[in-house]
Amino acid sequence: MNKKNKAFTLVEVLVFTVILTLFFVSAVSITTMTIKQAEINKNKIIATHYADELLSMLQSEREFGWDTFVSHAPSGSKTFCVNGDEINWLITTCDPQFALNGFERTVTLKPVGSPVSQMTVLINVKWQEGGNTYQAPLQSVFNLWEQ
Amino acid sequence: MGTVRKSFTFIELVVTIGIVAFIVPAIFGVSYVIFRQQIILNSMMEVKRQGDNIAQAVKTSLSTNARKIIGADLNNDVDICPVITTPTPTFFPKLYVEDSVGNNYSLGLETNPEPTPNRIASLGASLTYLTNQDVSISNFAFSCYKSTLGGASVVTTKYTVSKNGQSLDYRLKVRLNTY
Repeated sequence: MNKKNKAFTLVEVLVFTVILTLFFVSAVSITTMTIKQAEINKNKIIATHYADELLSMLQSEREFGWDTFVSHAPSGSKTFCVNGDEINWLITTCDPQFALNGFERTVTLKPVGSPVSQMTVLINVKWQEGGNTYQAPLQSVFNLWEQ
Repeated sequence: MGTVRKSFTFIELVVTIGIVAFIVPAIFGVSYVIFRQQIILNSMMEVKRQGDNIAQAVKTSLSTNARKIIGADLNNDVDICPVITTPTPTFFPKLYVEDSVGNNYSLGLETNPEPTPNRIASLGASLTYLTNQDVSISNFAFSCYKSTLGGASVVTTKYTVSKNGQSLDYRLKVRLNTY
């Protein structure tokens, strides 16, 4: 009497292995992507916080006097780097050594009118992640007559 | 007639259990990582939301309602902000304010034992909390100065908002416009 051995064929084993590999590869890539995206989103929240903080600082500066505020960019567009707790109007370029927890925060003041009656404020917070540069821009306008 | 009993062999069962043992932790691992990242993100969003809310409340309260900053003795309404042109901030933990209609209130940190979070409280006619119970506040401090005698006081407020290990530092400067 013939004894018949039943077993998986090579093709069946290969198909199964491919499916299993695909499953693991996609699981790993989904996890990596999710972690990366979550990290980017988290940094975006921090960058927005830094941008809001600088806008608040600028609003305070504007409240203390329009003329003094305008004197920092009286005729043309001027950019300042604000990586500290206070605005230092002498720092125009950012030194990576003094970055704000890995973020770089700048503000560009663009005066409008002569005499200046409006100031366009462009805040930009930049950070590097995985070889890419990300930005969180914030734009606002300050007027002479606003309180 | 004999009956043939068909069933999995021991090896087949071992192989199946082995595969399941690989797949299940992988699925749970992925879910756990995604879930954890989501918690971190939600915590950060809540931290920012609450931090911005405090900033807005303090700003509105001081900028439009506060007349002067007074000492801890609420019956003595002497303005305590020193006149200095180049401020070197001395921070104090609680702020006592006289508002535009002459009522007094205070702003300070209510420290609570774990697990109750520390909250910012405003005490005037009644006790009001500026934060919910989801986030905890620390390093809450104030400083104030005036650049000229009789001029408006400038109040600097700083605090740290945290939740689940995520935190944001806040620092804001407010000018008392109704002095």
